[in-house]
Amino acid sequence: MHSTRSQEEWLVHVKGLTMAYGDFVVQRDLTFTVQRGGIFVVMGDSGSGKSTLMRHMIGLEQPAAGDVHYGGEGYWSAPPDARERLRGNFGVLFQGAGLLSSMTLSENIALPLTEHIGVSESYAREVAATKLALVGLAGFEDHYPGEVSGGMKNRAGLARSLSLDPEIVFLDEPSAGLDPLSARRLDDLILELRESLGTTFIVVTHELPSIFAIGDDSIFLDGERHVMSAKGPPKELLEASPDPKVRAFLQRGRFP
Amino acid sequence: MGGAFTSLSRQGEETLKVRIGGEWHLRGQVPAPSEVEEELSRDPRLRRVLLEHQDLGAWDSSLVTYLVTLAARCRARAVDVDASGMPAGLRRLLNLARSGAPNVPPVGPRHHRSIASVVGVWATSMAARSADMVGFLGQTALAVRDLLIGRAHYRRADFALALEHVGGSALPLVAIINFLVGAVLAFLGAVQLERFGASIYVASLVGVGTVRETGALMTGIVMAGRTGASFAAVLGTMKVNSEVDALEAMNLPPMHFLVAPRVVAMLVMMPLLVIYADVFGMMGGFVVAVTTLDITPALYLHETQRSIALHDAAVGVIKGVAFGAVVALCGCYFGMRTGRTASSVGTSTTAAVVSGILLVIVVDAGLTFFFYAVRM
Repeated sequence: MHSTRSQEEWLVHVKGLTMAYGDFVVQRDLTFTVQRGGIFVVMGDSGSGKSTLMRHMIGLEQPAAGDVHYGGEGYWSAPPDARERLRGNFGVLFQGAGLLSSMTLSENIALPLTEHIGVSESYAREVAATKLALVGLAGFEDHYPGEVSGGMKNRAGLARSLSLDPEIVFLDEPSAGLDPLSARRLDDLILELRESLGTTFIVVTHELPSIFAIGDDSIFLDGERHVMSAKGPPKELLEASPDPKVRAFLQRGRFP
Repeated sequence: MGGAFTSLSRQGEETLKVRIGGEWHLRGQVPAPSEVEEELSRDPRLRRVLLEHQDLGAWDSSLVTYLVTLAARCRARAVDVDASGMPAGLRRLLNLARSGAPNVPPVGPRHHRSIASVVGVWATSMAARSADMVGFLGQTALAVRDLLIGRAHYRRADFALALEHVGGSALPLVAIINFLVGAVLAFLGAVQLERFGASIYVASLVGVGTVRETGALMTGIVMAGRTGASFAAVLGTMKVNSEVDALEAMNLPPMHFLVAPRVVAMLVMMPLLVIYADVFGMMGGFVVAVTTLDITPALYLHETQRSIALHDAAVGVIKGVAFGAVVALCGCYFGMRTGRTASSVGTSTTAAVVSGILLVIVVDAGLTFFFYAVRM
């Protein structure tokens, strides 16, 4: 059957999504799909609505028009309990990490484990330690977010987004504040998790090395015209995007 | 395929073979590395753990957690772990988890359990805090002086906003509270004075009580809860957002830019608010006296006029200014000393309100005693 087949290929389908704050339209009529197990990069200039798009996709902002479909189920047309179930498949890293400041890094990561799947505290601690080790923060389990640097907070936030092994992970500027080596390591981790766990990643970033290293599909949001001005694998857009702004954006990485 | 399992077997004298299989899910039951540890403790000759997989189905981070935890515990016992028999993806994740652990700085102080250390930490921190408060008082005085002689960096719009926030927006609350306190005073007086046939002195009681005491006191307390809290919360949030650092870096002293306008706004507005509060307090007494006691409006007003002297009003206004200074200083002090986390804003707001109210009452007692001593 054709329809089921296409559902297997794509996991997320954004259909005619218009995002607006009051009368101000951030982006108009966005339509794209994200492949299952893909790493999808959202690019765009500052203020073009990249983070806003993420907030719409994870259900924090209601679209002015359109919907976001997950495996064929429309998020905004679904009843509240179905939305909650869909959200259970998401892991999210916010800009600035959004770690709870009254808990240690380990407690931050253990929180969804103990609250949602009811594992024991000691096992949750072991899982948290593993996730922290994966992002390069072994030994920082008992530090509070206020006691580590911004880049470390970001990595701990990534570890928290991975705590339940979610199907889809949304990352908003994961390499902000990271040195090039840590950023590279983060890219390796993302590729490895996609490879071994089949996780789908939707990454908002303008780190060009990352975009080319991990992105197998992407869109470009134009903040001046409020439309999606390009869609496709970043390496193809670099050579062949019809929009000169997109080529200029991507070439900065190759020809500094 | 069945659930997650591990099976242990010996391979020679020194090697423990751990076979891993089944479906490994965070949400399911998975084996714990402790059984391997127990085996290692039982036989100290074991120097090496060999990992192999057999009928390994789907796995998630529960298996990664198992392997990372096992590797860490083996390392602690100086036992080698050989993971070359595991799937490539797992090996790469294990390597990622093992690599690049930076130098871990020690965690900050956590809990002081013994009573002696709690008392000691409290006492030394109180001493340091008191000294810090006095320093802040001095800095504020200098900043206010700079503002008054026109040498401070601040935005007039901010000052106007502070005036409005401290004064205008507080009017309804100050009016209601003082009106009701005046009415309560009148009832209190009426019950006692009626027994001596001296009901008419309700007017004096309410008049003098309001003007000398409750008008200023109630306004001070309202200000501590309302304005002091808001000063601390706003300045604290600015601190958390690095806005205070940004001002400092731009050579705009936060004491000039943030603290002085707020303190001056409070000092300007408090006398006006106290006079306003006095009017409403006396109105409360008037309404009670005229409606429930046999006193005519004209008589009540006359008696009020007769009993209050100008110096009574001055006492109230002076107290009000003192309360305003105390509240503004507490609010700004705790706001500017906020830490860098979300919860520290709450802590400093609470501290500003609690110490504001406490100090208002303490200052009130002191001033009352002083005015009694100088017969004012």
